[in-house]
Amino acid sequence: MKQLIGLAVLISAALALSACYESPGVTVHKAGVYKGSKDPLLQSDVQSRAETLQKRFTMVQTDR
Amino acid sequence: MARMKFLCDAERCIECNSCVTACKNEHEVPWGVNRRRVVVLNDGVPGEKSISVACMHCTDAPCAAVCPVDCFYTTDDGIVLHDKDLCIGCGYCFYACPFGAPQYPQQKAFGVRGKMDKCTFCAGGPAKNLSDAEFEKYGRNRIAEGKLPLCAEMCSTKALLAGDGDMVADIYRQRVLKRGGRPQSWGWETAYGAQG
Repeated sequence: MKQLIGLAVLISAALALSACYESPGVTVHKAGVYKGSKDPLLQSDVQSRAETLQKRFTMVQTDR
Repeated sequence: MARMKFLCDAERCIECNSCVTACKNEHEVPWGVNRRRVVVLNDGVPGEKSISVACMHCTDAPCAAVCPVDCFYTTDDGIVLHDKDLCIGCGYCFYACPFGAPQYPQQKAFGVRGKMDKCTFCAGGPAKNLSDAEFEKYGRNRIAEGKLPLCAEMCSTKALLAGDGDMVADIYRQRVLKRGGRPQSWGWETAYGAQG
């Protein structure tokens, strides 16, 4: 009986200690890299947006 | 590639504050937060000059450089935006910004700062374009609608210009040539004097 209890203690100790390990994969924090959610505006075509805004600028903001 | 820029012509600005009002109205900016403000140089002295100041969407933005949670990003056309879900309201960007652009709504007692708010060049933020969520957090997304910032579009004297940096520079250059000199509100002599 004592042997069984000892074995159980050994097994539970091994299991408990096996959970206490350090992850070998290091999380590298790259400073200056945007970490937020994506902006759908960035998915749209830049060139066509630039042309639209240039037309708008000519229409609205050029000197009278 | 076009880079979006603001430019305020100090010779034309009449300190009407319409840009400030238009911005607040368009984006329903909360009390105590001004995304844009008019600064008067030599107030009360003959020859005083006014300029309208907001986020200048810096090419190498110091706010982004100091942000501990990296919530800033720059769009392809050079507009500096940020994610309010990531912002922790630490205030570093406010100290770093030379224009005082970042603003913080007071949301709780004891002066606890809320999420940073600043001019978005009317380009919204990282949320579904033209959605209610985007409007609530960042204001209206006029860029997605094919429009330019309202502050500049409604400026009655066309002192405030906003758009492709090259086009803005062309207009300003023509004005300076027409005036027959260089703008005296900006430059080395204004900052340091003729002897500097």
